[in-house]
Amino acid sequence: MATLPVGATDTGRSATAVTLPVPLRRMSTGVRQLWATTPGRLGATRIALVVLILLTGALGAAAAQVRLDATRAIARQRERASSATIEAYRDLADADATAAAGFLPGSAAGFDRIRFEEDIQRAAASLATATASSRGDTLALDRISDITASLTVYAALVERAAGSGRAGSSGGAEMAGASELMQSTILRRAEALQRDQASQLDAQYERAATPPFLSACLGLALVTLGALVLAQVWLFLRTRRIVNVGLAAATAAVLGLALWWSMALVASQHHLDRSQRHSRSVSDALGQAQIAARQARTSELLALGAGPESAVAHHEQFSARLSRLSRDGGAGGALGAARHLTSTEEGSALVLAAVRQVDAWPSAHAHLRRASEDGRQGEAVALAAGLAAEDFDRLDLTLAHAVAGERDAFRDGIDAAQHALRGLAGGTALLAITAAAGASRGIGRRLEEYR
Amino acid sequence: MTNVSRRSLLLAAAALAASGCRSRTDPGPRDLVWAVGGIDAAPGGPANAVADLWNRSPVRPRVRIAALPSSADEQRRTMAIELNAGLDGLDVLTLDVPWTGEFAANRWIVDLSGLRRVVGRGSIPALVRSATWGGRLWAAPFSANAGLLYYRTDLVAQPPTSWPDLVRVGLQAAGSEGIAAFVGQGAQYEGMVVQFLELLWGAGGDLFNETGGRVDFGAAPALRALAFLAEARRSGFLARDFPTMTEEGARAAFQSGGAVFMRNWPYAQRLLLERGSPVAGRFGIAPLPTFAGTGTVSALGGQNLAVSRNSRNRAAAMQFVEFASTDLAAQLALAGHAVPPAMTSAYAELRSDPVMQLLERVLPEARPRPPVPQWSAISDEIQQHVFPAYTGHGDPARAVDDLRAFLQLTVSDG
Repeated sequence: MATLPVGATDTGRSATAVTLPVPLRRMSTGVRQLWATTPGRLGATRIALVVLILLTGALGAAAAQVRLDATRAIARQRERASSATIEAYRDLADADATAAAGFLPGSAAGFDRIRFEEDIQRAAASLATATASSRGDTLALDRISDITASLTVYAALVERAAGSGRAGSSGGAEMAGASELMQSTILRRAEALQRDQASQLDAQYERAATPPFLSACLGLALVTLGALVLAQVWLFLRTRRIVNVGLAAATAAVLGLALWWSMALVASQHHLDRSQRHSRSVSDALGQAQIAARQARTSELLALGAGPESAVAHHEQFSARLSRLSRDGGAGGALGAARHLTSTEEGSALVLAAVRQVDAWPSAHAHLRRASEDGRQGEAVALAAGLAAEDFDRLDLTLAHAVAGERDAFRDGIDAAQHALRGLAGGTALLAITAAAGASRGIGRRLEEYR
Repeated sequence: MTNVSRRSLLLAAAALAASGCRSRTDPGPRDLVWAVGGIDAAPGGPANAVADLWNRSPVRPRVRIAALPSSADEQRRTMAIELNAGLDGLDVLTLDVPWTGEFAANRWIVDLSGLRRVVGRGSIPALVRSATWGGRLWAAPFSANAGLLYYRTDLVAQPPTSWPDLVRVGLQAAGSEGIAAFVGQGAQYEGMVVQFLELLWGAGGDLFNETGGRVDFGAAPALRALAFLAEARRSGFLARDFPTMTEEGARAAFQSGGAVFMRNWPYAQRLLLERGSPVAGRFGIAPLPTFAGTGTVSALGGQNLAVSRNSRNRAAAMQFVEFASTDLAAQLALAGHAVPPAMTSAYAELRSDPVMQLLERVLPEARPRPPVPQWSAISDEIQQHVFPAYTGHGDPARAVDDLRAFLQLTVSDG
C-alpha cells in the first residue's frame, strides 16, 4: 500500500462519494429520518417482516411444488416408462425361450402358442406404454419402432417354423434363425432402451431429491424467525407489554410452517429413497436376472436342436448367461445385485431361494448335454422338456414373486412420498399469509397508539 | 398370485436361507479380486502368470482372479450389472479397449490420472488414447492386439498390400484350389464392426473426430467400405459362411486348409502352428492391406485395467494396476502366453518372435475404436446396418445415412 500514490487513492474515494446518484442519496436520507422516530421504526419493521414472511412462504411453496411435481413425474411417467421397457425386454426373452422349447426336435410337448402369443402381446403393450411415456425422446422412439418392426418379422419366422413343424420337420432350423434375430437384434435394442430409461429414471429421482433453493428456504425461515423474535424483544423493551398477540401468532405460524415443511420434505425423501431402491432392485437386478435366466434357457434349448459345432457355441452361451445371472455362488451377477438391492425380508428370502435354484442348474444342464453329445437325443430332449423345464419354471416363478413384491413396495414408497407432500405447497402459502397478516396486525396495533 | 403359493414359497425360501447360502469363495478381507474374462483367466493362463508375480511378495495383498464369461459382451454386462448395483466383489476390472467411456461416465471406475506420467511414458500411445475419456485417464493399458493378415505361403508368393489386389490374387488361388478366398469376422457381432472399421479407415474414413465430440462419418469412404464388402460377397471372395464366422470360425476354416487369406488377431498364429495343424509351415502373417496399397490400418484391440469405484481397497488395487501394466517382468509374462504386451519397451525383448516383431510394426498404426460412453449402442447400430447391407438384404446408401443420423444423435445426447 505504501508504494501507491496516496493522492490517487484519495481522489478515487471522494469521487465515489460525490457521484452517488441523487435519488439514492434522497432515499438513504429518507430511511435515516424514518428510523429516527419510533413510528417510523415500527412501520419499517412491519414492512420488512411481511416481506420476509411472504418470501419464505413463496420459496417454500415453490420448492414443495417442485418436489411434488418431480415425485409425480416418477410415479406417473418415468417409472412407468422404465418398468414398461424392462417388462417388454423380459417378455421378449420369454417369447424366445417359449418358442425354442416348442421346436425341440422330437419333443412331445410341442409349441405353447398361447404363452408365446401372450408374451408378444404383453411386450407390444409395454412398448406402447413406453412410447406414450417417451414423447420427444427421439432415440427411445427410434429404438421402439425398430423393435416393433423386427418383432413382426420375428413372429412371421416363428410362424414359418410352426408351419414346417406341421409339415413334418421339427422346424428347428427356422426357429434358430428366428432366435438369432431375437437375440442379436431385438433383445439388444430392448436392452439399450431399458438402460436408457433406467438412467432417465435415476436422473428424475436426482431432480426430486434436490429441489432448487432448498437451503435458501431453510435459511430464510431461520432469518424470519429471528427477525420475529427480535421484533418482539424490542417491542417488549419499549412497551413493557409481554405478549404481542399478532407477532406471537405470526411466530407460531412461521415455526409451524418451517416444521411441517422440513418434516414433510424429510419424510418424502425417505419414501422416495425407499421407492427408488425397490424400483432399482427390479430394473437393475431382478429384471436382469429374469432376462438372463430366460436367455440361458433359450441357449440350452437351441443347443439341443443344433448341429455339433453350433451346439458348442450355444452351450458356451448358456454358461455365460448363467454367470450373468449368478456368479460366485450368488455373490455376483444379477442375483448378487438383487441380494444387495433387495431390502425387504420377503424379497431377500426369495432371492436366496433363486440363488439355490440357479446353483442346481449347471449339473442338470451337464446331464442333458452329456446325453445329447452321446447321441441319446431322445433322452436329452426328455430331460430338457421335463426336469430342466420344471427347474426353470420354478426359478422363473421365484423371480416373478420377488419382482411382484418389489413392485408393491415401490408403489407403497412412491405413494407415501406423494402423501407426505399432500397440501404442503398450499399449506405453506396459507401459513405464510396468516403469519404475514399476524405480524402486520401486531405491529399495526402499536402504531395506532402513535396516532 | 395366491396367498397360499406365496406363503409356501416363502417358507421354502426361509428354510433355504436358514441352511446358509454364503458365498463359497469369499475372499479374505485384504484380498484383491481381479475380474478377468474367458480363457485368459484359466489356471496356467496369462492372468495367473501376472498375478503369481505380484503374489510373490508377502507384504502385498493377494490378488485372486474372478473368471468372467469368455464372451466379451457377457463380461461387460456382468460387470455392468454388479457395478451398477454397488457390489464390491470386484476390485480390478479388465476392460476391452472401447469400454472406457461407458465405465467412466457411469462412475463405475476411479480416475487413474495419477498414473498418467508412468503410463504415458511406457505404453503404446493408441492404447493410452483408448483409456482416456473426457481428458482424464481411467485405466492403464495392459495388453495390445491388432488385426493381421494371414496368408497361405504355398498359394501366394507375396501378400498383396491393397484390397483390390488381395481380391484378385485370392480369387485366382481359391479358384484353382477349390477353397474359399477369404475368411474373417462376418457374423453380426463386435468382430464384424472391427472388420468394417478397418475397411472404413483403410478408405480414409472415420466415425468421429480426434476428440470424439464431432461426427466425422463421410459418406464416400463408408460407401466404399460397404460396397467392397457387398461386392466381395457377391463375387465369392468372402467364404460362403463368412456371415456366420467369428474369430474361431475363421481360424478353424483357415487351419483346415479351407481358405487362402484370413483376417484375425495374433492369437491364431500359435494354434495354426500346433502339431497336426494342416497349415503348419504353410502360412505367413503380414500387415492388413489398405485400398491405396500403401501403409496399413488395423483396429486396435487389447485390454486396459481399471479400479472399481466400489472397491474397498482402492489404493492397493491401483498399485496392482500399475504393476501389471508397467512392470516389464509382468508384461513379458503376458508375452510368454502369446498375449501382446502394452508396454513399448517389451517388444525390444521379443524380437525373436515373428508375431511380436510384426506387431511392433503394426501397433503404431493401429487405431482404437472411439472410447465414448455410447460405444456398445454405436457398435449395435453398426451391426444392425452393416450386416444386412453387405449380405444383400439392405441398401448400402441408406445404411450409411441411418448410421450417420445415429452417430449424430449420440453426440448431441451428451
